Amino acid sequence: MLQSDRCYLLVDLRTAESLIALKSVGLWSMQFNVPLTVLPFIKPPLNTAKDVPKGAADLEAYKALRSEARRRVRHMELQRDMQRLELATMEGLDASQWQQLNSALLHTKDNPLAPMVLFNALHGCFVAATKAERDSARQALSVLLKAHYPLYGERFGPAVQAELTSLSDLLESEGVLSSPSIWFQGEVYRGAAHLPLLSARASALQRSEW
Amino acid sequence: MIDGKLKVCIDFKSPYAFVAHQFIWSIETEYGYEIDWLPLTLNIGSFLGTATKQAGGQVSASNRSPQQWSVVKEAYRDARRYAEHQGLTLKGPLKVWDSSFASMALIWSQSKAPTRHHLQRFMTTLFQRFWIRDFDLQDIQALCALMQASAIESDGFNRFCAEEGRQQHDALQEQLLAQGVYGVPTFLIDDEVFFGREQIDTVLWRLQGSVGPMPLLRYPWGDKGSAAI
Repeated sequence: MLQSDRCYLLVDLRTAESLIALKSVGLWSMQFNVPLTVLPFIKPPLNTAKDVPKGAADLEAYKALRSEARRRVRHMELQRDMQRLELATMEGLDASQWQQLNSALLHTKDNPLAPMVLFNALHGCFVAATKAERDSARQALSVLLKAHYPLYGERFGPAVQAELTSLSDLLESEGVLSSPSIWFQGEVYRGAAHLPLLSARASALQRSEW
Repeated sequence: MIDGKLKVCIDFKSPYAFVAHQFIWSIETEYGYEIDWLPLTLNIGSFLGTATKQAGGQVSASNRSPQQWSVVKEAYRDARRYAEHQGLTLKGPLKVWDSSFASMALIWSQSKAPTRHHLQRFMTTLFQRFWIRDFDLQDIQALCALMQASAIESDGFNRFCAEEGRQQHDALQEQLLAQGVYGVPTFLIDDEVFFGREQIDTVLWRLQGSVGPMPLLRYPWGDKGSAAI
């Protein structure tokens, strides 16, 4: 299903991390002229500790402390990500709107949307300061999505949910563990932090094509 | 500028700490921020289960779930990409090690090393030998021999491990967990916690006074361990 001559960015647009990846990987794909497809990958956050059988009291105490430490650091990272995005909030869209956004990415019309354009439209919804600005930004986002994604605006029903689940399962079987991830030349990279490595690989690819 | 000293938590048995180690040292050697190294001895079994392999690589015992195996395999595959680029060899360990003696050796060496260069040499050699399966992290005598080879006093280390060192180590684990340290490498500046080597640019940015936009996360991709902000 994944084509070897393309790069795929797998996102859950509800997260700040995915929004950052949309921008940085989008810019990277333009810089290196790598065709990029954005797809949804919707799975619960990885939590391998839950698979560890219940043990002695000291092990359970350690697991609880570690879990709390993880929660605290994730919160700090989210705050830093919001600063990187120059946003105070990503609130304002309800669960069904987020579902519609993610599932819209399942199919694109003949004219695929550049990731940077999607980023700017989404970012505009959260950066807007007044209600009028927010309404206007959401209207613009809606128009844009309707023009590019046939599923956008459709009722989020069992068929779409099943397709979303099926795609995420398929990607998981390809080695994707979390959002955002990048699939490039048959390998999975977790997170946009891999871009320096990917830049080196894209440069090498360009040289070999010359 | 931040007045607080940079603290960096590592565990010698972590592949991510291994591939980050030289880049982290460059924060001190190239940018001048002295690092207080703190060992965090990970209890791998508590979040990734345990497994033992034979020398040929076949798994002889394991209580890992499929997802835990996926995460472990992905972690080694990923760390190996970066290790190879640095010219390092990273062989997956054949068991889940108890690295607490190596952690105590870090506490000890940091106070006994004649210079920071000696400490760096000790840490680098330990990491490199462990990851080619040429070092037993649980062998106190091997740790002493490595200290001696790095010109670090080792007399008394044996007793340190049984008494004061163990107490310091165990207390530190509780303190770090309470502070929010759950993996390595982790960077601490005052109360702020930065997890992962992808944070090195952000840590430097913070140390340098948080001027300009906050850098994006990125895994360092140099060929000689330079943080290159």
